Amino acid sequence: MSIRVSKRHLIVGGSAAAAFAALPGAGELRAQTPRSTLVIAAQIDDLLALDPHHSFEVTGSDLLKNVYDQLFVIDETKATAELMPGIAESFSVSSDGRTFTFTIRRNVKFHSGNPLTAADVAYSIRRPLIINRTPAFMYRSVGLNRENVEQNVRQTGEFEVQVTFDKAYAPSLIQNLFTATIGSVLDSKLVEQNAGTDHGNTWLNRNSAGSGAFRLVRHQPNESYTIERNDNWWRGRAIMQRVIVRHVPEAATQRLLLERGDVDIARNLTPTDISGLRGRPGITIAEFPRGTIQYFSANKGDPILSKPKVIEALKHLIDYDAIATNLLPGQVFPHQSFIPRGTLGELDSRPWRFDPERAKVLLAEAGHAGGIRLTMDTANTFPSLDVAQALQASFARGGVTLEVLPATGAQVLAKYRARNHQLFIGIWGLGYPDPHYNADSFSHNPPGRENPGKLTWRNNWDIPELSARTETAMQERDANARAALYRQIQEGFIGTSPFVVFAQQQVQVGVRNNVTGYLASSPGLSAIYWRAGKS
Amino acid sequence: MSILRQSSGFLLQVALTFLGLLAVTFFIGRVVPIDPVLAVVGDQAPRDVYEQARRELGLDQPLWTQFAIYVQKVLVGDFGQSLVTNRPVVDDIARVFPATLELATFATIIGVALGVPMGIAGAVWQDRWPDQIVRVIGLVGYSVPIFWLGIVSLLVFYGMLGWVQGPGRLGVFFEDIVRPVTGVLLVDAALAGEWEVFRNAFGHVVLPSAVLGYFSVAYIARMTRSFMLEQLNQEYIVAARAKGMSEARVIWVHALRNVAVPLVTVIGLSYARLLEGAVLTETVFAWPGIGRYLTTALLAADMNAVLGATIVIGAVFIGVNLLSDLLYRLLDPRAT
Repeated sequence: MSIRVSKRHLIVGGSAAAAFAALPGAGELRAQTPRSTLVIAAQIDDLLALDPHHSFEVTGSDLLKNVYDQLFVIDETKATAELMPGIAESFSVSSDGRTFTFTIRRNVKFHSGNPLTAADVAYSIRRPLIINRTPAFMYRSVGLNRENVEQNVRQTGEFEVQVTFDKAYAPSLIQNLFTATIGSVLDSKLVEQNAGTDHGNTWLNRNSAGSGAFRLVRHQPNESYTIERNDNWWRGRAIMQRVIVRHVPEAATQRLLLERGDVDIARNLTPTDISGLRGRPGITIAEFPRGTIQYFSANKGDPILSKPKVIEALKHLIDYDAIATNLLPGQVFPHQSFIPRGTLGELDSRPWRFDPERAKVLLAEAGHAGGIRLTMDTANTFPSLDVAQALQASFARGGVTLEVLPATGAQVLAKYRARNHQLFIGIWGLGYPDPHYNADSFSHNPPGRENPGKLTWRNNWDIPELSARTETAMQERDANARAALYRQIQEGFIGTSPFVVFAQQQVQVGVRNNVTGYLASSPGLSAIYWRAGKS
Repeated sequence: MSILRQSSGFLLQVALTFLGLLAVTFFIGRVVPIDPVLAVVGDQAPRDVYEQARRELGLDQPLWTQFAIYVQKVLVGDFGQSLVTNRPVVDDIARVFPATLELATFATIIGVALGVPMGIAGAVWQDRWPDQIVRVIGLVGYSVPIFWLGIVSLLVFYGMLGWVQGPGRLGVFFEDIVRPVTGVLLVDAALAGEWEVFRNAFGHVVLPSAVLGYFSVAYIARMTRSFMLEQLNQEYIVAARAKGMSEARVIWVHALRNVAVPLVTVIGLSYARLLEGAVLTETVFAWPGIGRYLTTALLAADMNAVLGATIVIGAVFIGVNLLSDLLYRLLDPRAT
């Protein structure tokens, strides 16, 4: 095909550019992506591990939840997390509440053709603790560990598995836990064939051994991955034959690719790109809430910050609405409790307002009428750094001089864990769609124990009473009663905690109009590809 | 005998430079307040899990022991495993470096092919219109941010005109057709006789290499111009002209021969600088080169990858310097 070049274009392009027109590869008209393939431009350089028992990033879940099946599934068609049976068709709980018996779905086949049995399920529940990578803490938090896992996870029939936990946990907690990426069921025969010296960890970081809607056919770190439809998936067949996700680091470049039709979806657009794309023919902007909250916290081990009135003053010094509407428009919405919307026990209580005068009064009452100086540690990345800079201005209006200390994420984290900070700003994502995941870190700090994994501990927040209530909620069998307990815990948290939750994130994506059914994020905490189609 | 002594001294010098490079990168990597253990076990790990991983990584050993182990491993080409990609750093570099090599080579070819004649023209017609054009181009190349130029050129030539292929090294539907031999896509495609892939890859490389090449052109033209001006004022040029030699011969044969020596150094350095990887260009064009690899690794505190990439870049720098040194000897008969 040839292309006509108008004089005006030539002038715009400059004469040097004219030379390129004659080069091969040029002159091709805009190509639409094939109808059977979904092409997504996204930032996927944080995709560290493809082993589902090792992966701990949202980009990892986006891929792995579409490749592997878990014991339970969160219904992706609902706005709030609702459980459905997955590989576990049904389950029962023993009278002491500690032992769960799962009945495994029959006639499920792995991509390799191997049938899925209870042996695979038992293997897959034990393995995360054996390889002991980051997400293993989720299983440790319900009393499983390397030493007891062999005994506590038992295959009791060809299609039956029993798991005994250390306490009588709420069934909804266990079910939600087993919807997480770590709950993925692996093709144990295939993994064992490729086990190497690390239980197949190296191998699984390059290959897949699942039974999910798609199978992984290609992955180049920091470049792209390709997944292909599994025609025999037990839940049905995906509409798209192939999904390709390409790493495009620069948002403006993602936008250009979308506008040209070289990709169907641009996953990481800035507010500027979004407003530029609005109203463009052929392109829609879609929004999906995400289970990640943004917060800053005060270290109560600090002499100034140990005073409740100072913390209360700080809660009056953040402009909650301006952050959602001006600073991060479309990227977040205001939210002040620790359980994100879309999850069991969510609470939309937002009592705090930006009120610098009130803050001044509170500071004076705390004995700091002349104002105070504080430092805030932040990763040098969007959005925490941007919010920290905005906080400098709003804090100043209440007489608080804020010094922002940016550093790489790893450096800031080390300092936070060592409790060497005054204020810390960061984001916090749900690891599995259950209120306990966040409660464990925001409202649980058992006295006398050193646990740098918990945010409460890092901020020296001593809460024996709230910790006990969190433990009760963890074991409440009735899901509605359990939700009510979490709402009460959060009411207390919002009032007195050294945490200032100010927003919940949402994902804004640019989608070409012919794409249907694509979910960039879901209450199950991942993207969903199998319902995506093209008209 | 003297050649042998000379080259062994030379090798010793290279070896020492390399060892120094290893030491500096290693100790900087250990001094930075980044905890490699956290990167492995995650920030929710309890103390015992943390300590176990620390021992497994050998971080409980004294620093000198760690350095000795590191040097031993590097000597056999083992830079360790990257935390970001979960692959050996050597494999990663083998994949990303050819991408940068491709870009840098094209850019340098453009730089030399346009920059040298432009510099000569500027010198020959000093203060006249060709010189003014060369100066403006040089100035713009010096002052326009490459990030901006990249985005704008992408917008115009890809977004509006559609003359070139978009970001990335290859269209998604052309991937995996050609088996990697050298890692340089154009070469691999040509070797395999896959001309469709070649066309597509060429369409992708044209724009980023032109953008990088523009900066090369600006630099090389400026340097050529000043070297040339210096030569044109020499007495041997006056003598050559007085002998009635044609102006073309005076410039292209007599003056250029003398300009060539410093010019080789300039071109070599500019090439080496491009081989470091142009992070901004690679980011805008989604080009999976070594610059972006290094930056991603840095931000993720992936020290194995950072050290590996730094050492490779350092080695390339040493290599290019060596090469221009050798060329220098060939071009200048006095320098033996």
